[in-house]
Amino acid sequence: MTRAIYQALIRLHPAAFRERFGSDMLSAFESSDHRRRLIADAALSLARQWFLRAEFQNQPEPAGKAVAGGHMFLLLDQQPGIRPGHWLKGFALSFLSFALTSSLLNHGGQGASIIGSHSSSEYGSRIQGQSDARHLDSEIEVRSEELLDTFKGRTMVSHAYRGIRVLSALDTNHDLVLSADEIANAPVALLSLDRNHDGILVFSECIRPRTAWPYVVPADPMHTNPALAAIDADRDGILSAKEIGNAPVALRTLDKDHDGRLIPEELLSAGQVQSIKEALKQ
Amino acid sequence: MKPATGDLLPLSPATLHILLALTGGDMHGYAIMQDVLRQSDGRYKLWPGTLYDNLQKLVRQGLVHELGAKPGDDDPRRRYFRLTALGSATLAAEVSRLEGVIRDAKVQLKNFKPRRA
Repeated sequence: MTRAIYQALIRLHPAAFRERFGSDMLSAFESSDHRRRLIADAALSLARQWFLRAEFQNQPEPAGKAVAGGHMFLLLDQQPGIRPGHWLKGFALSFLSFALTSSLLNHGGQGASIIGSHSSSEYGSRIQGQSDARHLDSEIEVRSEELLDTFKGRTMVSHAYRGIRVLSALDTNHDLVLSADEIANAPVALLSLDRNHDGILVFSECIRPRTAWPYVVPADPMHTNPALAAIDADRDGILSAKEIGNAPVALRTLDKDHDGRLIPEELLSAGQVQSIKEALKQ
Repeated sequence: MKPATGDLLPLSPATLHILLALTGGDMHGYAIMQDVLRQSDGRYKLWPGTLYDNLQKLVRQGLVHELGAKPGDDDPRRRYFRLTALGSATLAAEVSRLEGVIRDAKVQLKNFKPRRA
C-alpha cells in the first residue's frame, strides 16, 4: 500500500524529474526503513518541483540513462514548456497529495514530520498505534538493549541484515526482530529471493556482493551466520527446497531464550555482534 | 555557462554533505543518503526528494556528473554520480571558508564575556 502511494506521488512529478530520478527514488524507498517519512518527503518534493524548479522541466536528459525496464511511469504532461495552467495543476496536485498523505499518516496515529532537516531524535523512536500490538518498544528495549536502542546501533544492525539478503527478506516489517509470524512465514519470504525460480537459493541469491557498501557482508556467511547455517542443514552452501520448507523449524533452534522471537544477537554471528558493540562504545 | 567556484559559496548543508559523500567515489543516491547519515552521526537525514533535487541542481552547475546505471549492479534502476573537478574545487573552497569561520569563532568566543541581565 505504501509503495503504491509513493509510486503515485512520483508519477505526479514533472516528466523531466520523474523520468530521470523516479526509478532511483523508488529504489531508495524499497531499501529504506522509513517509508512513511519518505512518502511525506515525496509530497513535499512534488510541490517543490512544480513550484520552485520550473527551469528544470525542459532540460534534456543527460547521458547515462538507466538501463533496464525503460520508462516506468506514465507521462502526465504532454506538451513542452511551462504554462500558467501547470502552476494551477501543480498546486492542486500537491495539495491533494499532501492532504491524502497526511490523512493516511494521521490514521496511524502519527502526523507527517519535517523532512530533510537536522534532527536530534533517536532513530529508535517508533510510530505509535501500529496495528500489530506484538511489536512493543518496551519488549524490544528489554531484549536488545545494546544493539537496538540507539540510532547508530539500529543502522549497523540494519546494514548487517541487508548484507545477508536472507535476513532482510525474513524481516518483512524491517523492525530488525523476527516475530513468530515472520519465522512461520520464512519459506514464503525465502522464495521471494529465488530470482530464477528454480526452487533453491544459491549463494548470490542469499548474500549481497561484498562490494555492496554500506551493507556488511561477513566472511563465509553461509557457515558463519547462525541463520544461514541453521537453514542450510547439509552445509553445502545451497538452500534446497526441503531446507527452505524446514526454515521455520531451523530458525526456532536459534531462539535461545524461547520467547518465540529472534533478535539481532541470535541472528548475527558472535563476531558481528561484538564488532557492533565495540563500535557503539566509541 | 558554468558558475565559478566563489559564486557558489556558501554551500547549503545538503550540498556540502552530498559533495563530501562523493569524494569517496562514484555513488548512487541511496549510498549518498547513507553516507550523509554516517557523516553527521545520524543527525542529518537527507531524504530522496531533497537529495535528487540537489543532485539535479549540482549536475546543472557542473559540480557533479551523472553516470547512469552501472553494469552488474544488483539494482539496475540505480543511477550513479561522480564529483567533478569543479565540484572538488568548490568543496575545498567551502571547507576553507568554514575553517576561517571556525578560526574567527574560536577567537571571539575566547574574548566573549556574558553580561548580566
